[in-house]
Amino acid sequence: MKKNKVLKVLTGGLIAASCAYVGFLSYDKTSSTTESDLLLANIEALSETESSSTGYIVYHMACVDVNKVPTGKYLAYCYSGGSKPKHEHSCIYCSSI
Amino acid sequence: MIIHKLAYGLGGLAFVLVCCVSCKDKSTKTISKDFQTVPIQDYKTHQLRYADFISMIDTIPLQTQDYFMGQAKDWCISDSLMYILDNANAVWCFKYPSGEFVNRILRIGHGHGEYISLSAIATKDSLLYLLDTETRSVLTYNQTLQYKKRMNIDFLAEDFTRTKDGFLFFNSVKTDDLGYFVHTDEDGHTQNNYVPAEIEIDTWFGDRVFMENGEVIYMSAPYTGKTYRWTGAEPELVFSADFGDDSRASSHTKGSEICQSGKAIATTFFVTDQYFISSFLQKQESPQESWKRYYSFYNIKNHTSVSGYIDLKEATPFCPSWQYNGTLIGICNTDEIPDWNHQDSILHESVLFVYHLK
Repeated sequence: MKKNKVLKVLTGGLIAASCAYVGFLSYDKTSSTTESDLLLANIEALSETESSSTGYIVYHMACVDVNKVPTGKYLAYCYSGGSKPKHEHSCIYCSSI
Repeated sequence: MIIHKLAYGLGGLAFVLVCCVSCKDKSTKTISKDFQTVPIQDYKTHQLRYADFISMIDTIPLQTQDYFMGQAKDWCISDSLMYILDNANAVWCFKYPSGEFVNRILRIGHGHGEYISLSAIATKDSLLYLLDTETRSVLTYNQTLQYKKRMNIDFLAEDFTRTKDGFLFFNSVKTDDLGYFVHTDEDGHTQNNYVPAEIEIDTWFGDRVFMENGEVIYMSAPYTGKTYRWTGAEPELVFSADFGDDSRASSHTKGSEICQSGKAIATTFFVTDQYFISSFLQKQESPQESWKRYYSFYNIKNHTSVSGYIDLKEATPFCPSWQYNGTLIGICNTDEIPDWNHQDSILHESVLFVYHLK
């Protein structure tokens, strides 16, 4: 009788620990997915200014002269998220800015 | 009795959870004891001459052999070796201060020790680190540019530096989950992140976000004008540039909006034992001159400052982008310098300028 009680408590404890462990793992997975989704959403939002078939435009880098004064030209940097190659066009006048 | 125990247990659990959540809090509210607001005024009409703030300029021709060096993107130094990343993704190693060529790598690809798009380089303890933004990884090379290993990060970083226990990265994409500055361990695992992103950086000027004065790391996100010092555990606010009426409007939350607004744009900074130097831009209405760069030299000790624009007719350009041992460092290609007539120099050569401050 006493043995059964101990066994029940141990089984209950084991189930509770398993649930906590699975919950912990799935929580981490969920938060990681959400973060990358957010990142992608931001990149897509930024890409609205100018779209590219090879990637998402993240930002425009101002070209500067020898005294570090912007020339009015820009270099567009696009990141695809890691798998596709980056599209980059050299210093040209950028109509979106 | 059991209910009491349960209540205490739950209370304890809640306390632990609250502690865990607060550890993930990115909103840095730490302000340094020596925090200073740096007033920047009367700069539009004041011309700065080299004699006002520079005692000497060293010109070091970089011996690039038969290779062509693109515009310098980043620079770092370790003892007697200096490294340059150019905008063609080549990494160069030269002796400092002689400028003698040591090695150069250009290893674009997805293979062993290869990279796609480098944004920044950093060095510590005779190792060189390359930040590959496209593949979100950091490659480690030895001091003579032999590949050692790669580590991955899980966010888009545009600049970084090495700390005693890992790395600090600048996260350039505004998200709710990740602040401007991300601290990782030596294997790239995120430890914490700080300073919520207030500006969407859709346009920027490529200046360094991290500066080192000796062993002390300083950092400032573009457009913010706020400079933090890394304590080893978190960034603490040490300088805040105050442009008065030319400060950006709080309604402007995109870099492109601030650029168009005609307000002052803090792009980079330098911190020496004596000065906090702010480098900033302002869009001009003149058709001949669309932008103007200004500098503010703030004396940390006596709280005085001088601000203005540099006389562009000086024979040596003023192009500081990095700092080392109390000097400012700039790199230019001589064919971009109008009327360049240095006796030891040849055309299409890259030169490193060391600006010694007064």
